[in-house]
Amino acid sequence: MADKPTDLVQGTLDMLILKALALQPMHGYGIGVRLEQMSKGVFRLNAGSLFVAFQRLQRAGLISSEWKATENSRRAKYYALTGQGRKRLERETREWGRQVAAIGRILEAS
Amino acid sequence: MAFLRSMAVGFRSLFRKERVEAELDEELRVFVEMAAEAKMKGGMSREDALRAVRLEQGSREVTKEMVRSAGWESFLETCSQDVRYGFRQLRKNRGLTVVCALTLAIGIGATTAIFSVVDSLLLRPLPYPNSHRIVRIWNTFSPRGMTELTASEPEFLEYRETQTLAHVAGFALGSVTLTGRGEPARLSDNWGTSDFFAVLGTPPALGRSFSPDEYEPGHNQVVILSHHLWQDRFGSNPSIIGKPVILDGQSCTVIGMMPATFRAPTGDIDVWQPLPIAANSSNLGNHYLNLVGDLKPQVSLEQSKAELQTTLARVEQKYPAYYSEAVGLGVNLVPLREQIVGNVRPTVLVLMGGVAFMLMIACTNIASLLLAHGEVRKNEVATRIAIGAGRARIIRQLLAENLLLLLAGGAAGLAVAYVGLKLVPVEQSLPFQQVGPPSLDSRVLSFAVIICMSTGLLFGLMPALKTSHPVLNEILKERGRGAMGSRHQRRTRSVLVMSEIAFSVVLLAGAGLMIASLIRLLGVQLGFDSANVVTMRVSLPELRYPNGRSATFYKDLQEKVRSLPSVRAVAIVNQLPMNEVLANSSFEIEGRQLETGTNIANTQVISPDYFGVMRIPLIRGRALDERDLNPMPSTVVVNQTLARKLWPDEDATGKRLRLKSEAPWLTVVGIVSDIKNEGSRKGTKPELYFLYTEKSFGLWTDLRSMTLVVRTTSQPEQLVSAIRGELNSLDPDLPIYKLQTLEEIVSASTSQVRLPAVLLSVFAGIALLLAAVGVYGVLAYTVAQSRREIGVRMALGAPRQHILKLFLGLGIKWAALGGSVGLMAAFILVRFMRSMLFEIGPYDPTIFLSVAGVLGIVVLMACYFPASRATSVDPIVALRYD
Repeated sequence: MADKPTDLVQGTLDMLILKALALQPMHGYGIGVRLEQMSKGVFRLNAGSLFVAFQRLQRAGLISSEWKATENSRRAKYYALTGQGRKRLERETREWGRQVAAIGRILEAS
Repeated sequence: MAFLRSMAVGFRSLFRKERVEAELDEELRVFVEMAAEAKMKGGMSREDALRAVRLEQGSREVTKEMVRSAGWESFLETCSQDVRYGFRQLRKNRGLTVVCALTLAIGIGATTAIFSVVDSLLLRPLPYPNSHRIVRIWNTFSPRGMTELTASEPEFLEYRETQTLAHVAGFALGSVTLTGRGEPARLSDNWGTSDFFAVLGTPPALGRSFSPDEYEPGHNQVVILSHHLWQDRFGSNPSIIGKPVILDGQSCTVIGMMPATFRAPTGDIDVWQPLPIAANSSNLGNHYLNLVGDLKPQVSLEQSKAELQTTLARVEQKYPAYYSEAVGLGVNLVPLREQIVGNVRPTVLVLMGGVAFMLMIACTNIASLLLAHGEVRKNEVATRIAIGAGRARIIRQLLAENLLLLLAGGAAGLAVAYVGLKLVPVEQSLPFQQVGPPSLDSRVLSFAVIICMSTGLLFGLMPALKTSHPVLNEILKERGRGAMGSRHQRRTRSVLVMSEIAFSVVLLAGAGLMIASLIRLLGVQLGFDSANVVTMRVSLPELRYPNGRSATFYKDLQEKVRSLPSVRAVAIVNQLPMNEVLANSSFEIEGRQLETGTNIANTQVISPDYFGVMRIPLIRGRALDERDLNPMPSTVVVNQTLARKLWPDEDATGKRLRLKSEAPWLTVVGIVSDIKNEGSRKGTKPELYFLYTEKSFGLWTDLRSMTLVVRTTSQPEQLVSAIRGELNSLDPDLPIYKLQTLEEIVSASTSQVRLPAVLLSVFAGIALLLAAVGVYGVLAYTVAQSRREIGVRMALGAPRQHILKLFLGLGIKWAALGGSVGLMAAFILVRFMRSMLFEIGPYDPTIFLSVAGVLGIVVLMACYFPASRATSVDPIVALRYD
């Protein structure tokens, strides 16, 4: 069996992909680059994890895909947020904020 | 919603695999191109960029595999791989596969067949709505230990007023002759009172039920047919309803036909007719009514019984003179199912237990075979784990193999069950007439599936877990050590073998007890000679045989049959031996008052040659003679039991007795030796033999129906058509029925013991064989695994005897431990067989000792061959081996 990321990482990766798509539809490579840029190089994602996540998100109905021409007039599969995906992103962002705040409080408590 | 989408996408990738694959391929290619382009912008050459990307991203195939295996559909795919692989494995080990599948087929098949019997007798509801509320109502008479007495009309009329039962109905059983439709046929007839069908809750399938006025005397010339009679005699023609048929020479209108699934509570019934009972009947002496009733909802059996008991007391008060002699009369209610299956329940349950044991042995055997096979495959498994297979996947693969085995075994098992039910004559000794035949219906099939699953878990999971759990370095270590396998594996195998032995001991003990019972039963001296005697019953309808004619008819018939070639002797009798219920009567003797209880005897009505035909020896005096008729009989012959009981110290001949005060005195002229008239399982009762006369002389027996008994010089079956011809020449409208040889009758009477004896022996035989195969297999395997050790021992000078003893000792240890556990279990379990046994106690020491002996011999035999093979090991070859 292939190694799976832990649940936390898995959930987080999904959230990050949704965030990356929040502005506009993007193709797989673009998403990878964008995540790397946004995290200032902390997250380097390989194609395997990304594509597994795309497949998962798409099956959950959070993103949709479509083959389109790129700016370099190459055909690529573009992923876009669905309405459901947007709602999920909002919820997860809120939840994440709450969790980070809570964890922060715990860590600073002592 | 998301689930549905995931399903849809999953199916798409399953069924449009290439398309999905191509899309993923293209997407990945674009990804790599873009990544390379980005790098080329930094000044790399195209080649270097592509290489760098590949280094960064890993192999494209691995990526694709990751994406593929993330979906649920990949689970299905690997499963189908497992199945295909399992199939190949099974084909490769054809011998093992066949042995396992056969073992399973026998185990599952026998279990399923017996379960279908259990289901139809004990579990499935009887074929009536509210069947659990239907009860049989019996009078009881505790002073004589009688528990199933039929009721009289006044008693029935009073019971019918009950508050606790919704309906009470009476019925009487008999037979009528159907004429005018091909060969005359004797039909079993059930005369029921008005609520009979209401109690059973079943209306006719065609036509209507009896109307109230048809229960009036004189208006009851109507009949309802059974489904099978309607098929056999009326060609399933619905237009028969409303037409007349001739029953006992009288015209009766067919008004209905019962459904095919309807079963009479007493067994095979051909026709139903109304039984009129006058509302003011005071017929106290004739106790002929069988009673059934259905409890009202919320009423318990006990409540109803208590109520009927007080009802009976009311009847007793109403007719004090009649009941004054019958102090101790009571009422008993028996649930209908209990009435039907009560006496066969132990047999059926013991058979179920026996077959379950056999199945356990089959499972154990397969488990130990697979375990041994697993050891052989340890290297394969270790290699697979080494190159990255997960344990779950290995277990799944092994289970897939077992599942295939199970499917093959289960399917073959159903075939075994089907054939088994057809071949084994269960109908004869179990009451399927009343409950419907056993069948492989959906209930039984689901049982079979459950059995398959649980056996699969039993025999499959343990070896799979063990095989999938190799500790790699241990395998290497063991290969180096080459001893008799690790302690752990050895213990598992020993436990399996010992439990097989224990299970078969239990079965052997059960079978042994049944066989001993059967031998004793077959060895019972019946007191008559059953070889070469054919019997058949003839009934003369009252209409066509009025006074004086039936005696002439029977006389003519005997004479005609006597003149046939190869007929030795001919006689008639009112009732044949091996009959559970014989007509009996009370009587009185001259000069002495008999106590209640000693004045009852079975009443046999015979023609003078009966003792000759049956070869019943005369002990004293002479046989009956036609000249004793004047025209009523003046003489009687008694059996030894009666003579001994009534005149222990005197000569019985010359004494006089009579049936009741107004009947003529009869002189005892002879004493015949006892016969087992009520079947070999029962003792002989006092019996009186009277000469046949047409007019009853105080007897309660139907003298219009007599059984012809014919002793022949050759096979009696060949004579049947000749006898039928003679009968037809006398009266073409008389049916011959109950045509049987005396040997068949005797053999049928032992079927209650024979069926479990034969089946348990078969189970025990198979169990023993399986256990022997198991012992042989495991020991042979142990020997094969220990070749190195044997080689070392021999090289160091161990004599061959020593090696032989070493391995035989292993077998003896298994036999001793497994055998004693089995004997203990048997000791606990055989008490459930007590009611099935005949003249042998469940704890018979001979049986237990023989079981131990048989087991010891079989285990030693099974051990001898592998053990002696061990001694033939050549130390040089063995040490070089592996």
